[in-house]
Amino acid sequence: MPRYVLRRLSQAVLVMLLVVIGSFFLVKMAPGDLVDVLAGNSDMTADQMASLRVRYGLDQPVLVQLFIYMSRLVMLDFGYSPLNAAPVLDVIMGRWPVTAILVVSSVVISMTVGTVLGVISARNAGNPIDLSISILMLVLYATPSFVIAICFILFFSVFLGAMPIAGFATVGTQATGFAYAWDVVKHLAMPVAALCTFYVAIYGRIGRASMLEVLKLDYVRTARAKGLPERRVIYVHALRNALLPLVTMAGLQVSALVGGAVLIETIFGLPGMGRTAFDAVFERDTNLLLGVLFISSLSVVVVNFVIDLLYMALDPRVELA
Amino acid sequence: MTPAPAAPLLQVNDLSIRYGKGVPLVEQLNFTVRRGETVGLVGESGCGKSLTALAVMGLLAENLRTSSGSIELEGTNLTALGQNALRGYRGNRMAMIFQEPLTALNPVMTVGAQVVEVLRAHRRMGRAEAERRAIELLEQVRIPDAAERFHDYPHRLSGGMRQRVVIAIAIACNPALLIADEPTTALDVTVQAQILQLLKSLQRDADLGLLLITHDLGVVRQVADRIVVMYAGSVVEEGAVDAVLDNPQHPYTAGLLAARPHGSFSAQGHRLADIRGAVPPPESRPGGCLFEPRCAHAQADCKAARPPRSAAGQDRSVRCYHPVGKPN
Repeated sequence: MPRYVLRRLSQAVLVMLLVVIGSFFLVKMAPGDLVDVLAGNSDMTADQMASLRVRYGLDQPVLVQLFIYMSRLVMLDFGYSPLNAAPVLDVIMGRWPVTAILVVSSVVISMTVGTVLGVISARNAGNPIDLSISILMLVLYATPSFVIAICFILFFSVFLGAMPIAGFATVGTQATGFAYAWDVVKHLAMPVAALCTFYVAIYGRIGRASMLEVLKLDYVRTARAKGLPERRVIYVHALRNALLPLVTMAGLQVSALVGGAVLIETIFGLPGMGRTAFDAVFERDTNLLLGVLFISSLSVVVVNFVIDLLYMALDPRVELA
Repeated sequence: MTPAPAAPLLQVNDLSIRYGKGVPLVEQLNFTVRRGETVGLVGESGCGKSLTALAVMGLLAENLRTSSGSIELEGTNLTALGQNALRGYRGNRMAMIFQEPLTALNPVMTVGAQVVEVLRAHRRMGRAEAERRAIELLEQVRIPDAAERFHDYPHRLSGGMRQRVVIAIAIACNPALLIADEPTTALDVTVQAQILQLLKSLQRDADLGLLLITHDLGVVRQVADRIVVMYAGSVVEEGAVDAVLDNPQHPYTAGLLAARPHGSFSAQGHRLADIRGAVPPPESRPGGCLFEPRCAHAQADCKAARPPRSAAGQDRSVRCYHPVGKPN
């Protein structure tokens, strides 16, 4: 086990190194830099622009810039974000939790709902209950999340006036503790639901197929031959084995959402990582963009590791070496 | 032989099993298992041996059903019971051992937990007590270091050891009837002998009725008291093992016996005897005697109607108009 962790750790370092170098060149390849954007917003002489470039180190050759960037990164110095007039790390630390809450709650909720629907579907395979669930899945699968998000806003916020339209919490709220948490829950309910729909369908379909396969296996028959209650046969013997492909999917979902929630974050005005990256691209805030890419990749690497551990916990035959 | 008690442990009467509303896969099946008796149920693949076992356990697939007849365990008609009531019998009064020990155990649960589970399903037992009892059971089926194996997952055990665990699960609640569906087919020969010995000694100790499903006539001769020969979903002959194997009455039984390898192949190099043709699938079974198309002794009346059981209710019976062998 310690050897496994060590090996994974060295792999992770390599992955992160490649991410940093790759994203650095990608960002540098885009035409225009921070100074161009700043100059575009004010009257700036060529001299002023040149001195700004010197200040931000943009006059150096790209490889030197990369070297400087990486040597700072080693000390967890992500540089300064001119766009936010704050260190990149501070900006990211302020926004990272928003995305984390969004991603974690969508994964948990969509996996739970999808799995339950999948199990119900599998146990009723071929009958009207299965058919209705399958149709629901198809609709959820085929509807883009931004369409669902806009429908939610129109119905719950505009028509019913029951839900806040946008933001992470009520602006200028003084609420603390439970009241604040409830405020956040109300604000995040619609974005999380919108992020869930597609994945509920995915988990539902995978869960149904996986469950149908497991229910045919010998040990399920053994469990029935033992005279166990059907509930126990399904939820203890079959489901735990059927969960493995769903856990794999959860890993993919996390990776997809960490960066992919930008649309939903934009629609609901949430200051998350996706939005931050989006803004950083347009303002040529290289440091911020690289920081976001770094932290996002790091989250994905960590989540994948957790998924592997989860796999091992679920299936004792999986031995990590 | 001891005199038969009033009600046999298991009595299967005129049982038919159908696929949906289609042709019966098993028809007019009759046999009994008495307390403390080993009955060998033999026949070719696809003749309905396993289906019969699953029907007794109430574990038939959803598209199969017992369409007529009854299955009585200790006087209770199991076919009349609902799933909930039947569950109280499964793993408790009757238990089953399956053919594939490698896949019969849940891979994500420790073997101990799988034994504990059946104890707690049928007995009022605390966790600690059930664990203690489970380790005893694992010792009883002669698993070495039972207390340590208790915490192992099935994939750490060999096939023979896993089959022992399956047996421990089956005998956990002291069932009256144990059904073993080809329990040794997937194991290698030395392990086979150990498992058979184990089954036999467990049976003697607990006065179990053992229904042993197999296609190995040698195994039957070795462990069974009585033999029931099935062909194409029906019983063709039954009786005491020695009586049937030494003096088969039904041409099919005689054919099976003649088809066994004997002598030395390297020295004599003779050809194996076989039964010509193949078992008819359920939808094209003949209207007369089921074996008639393949039978060397078939006559005109064999095509007309299914032969009845001779001496129904007796120990020795055969379904044939023209039995071969010496009359009993």
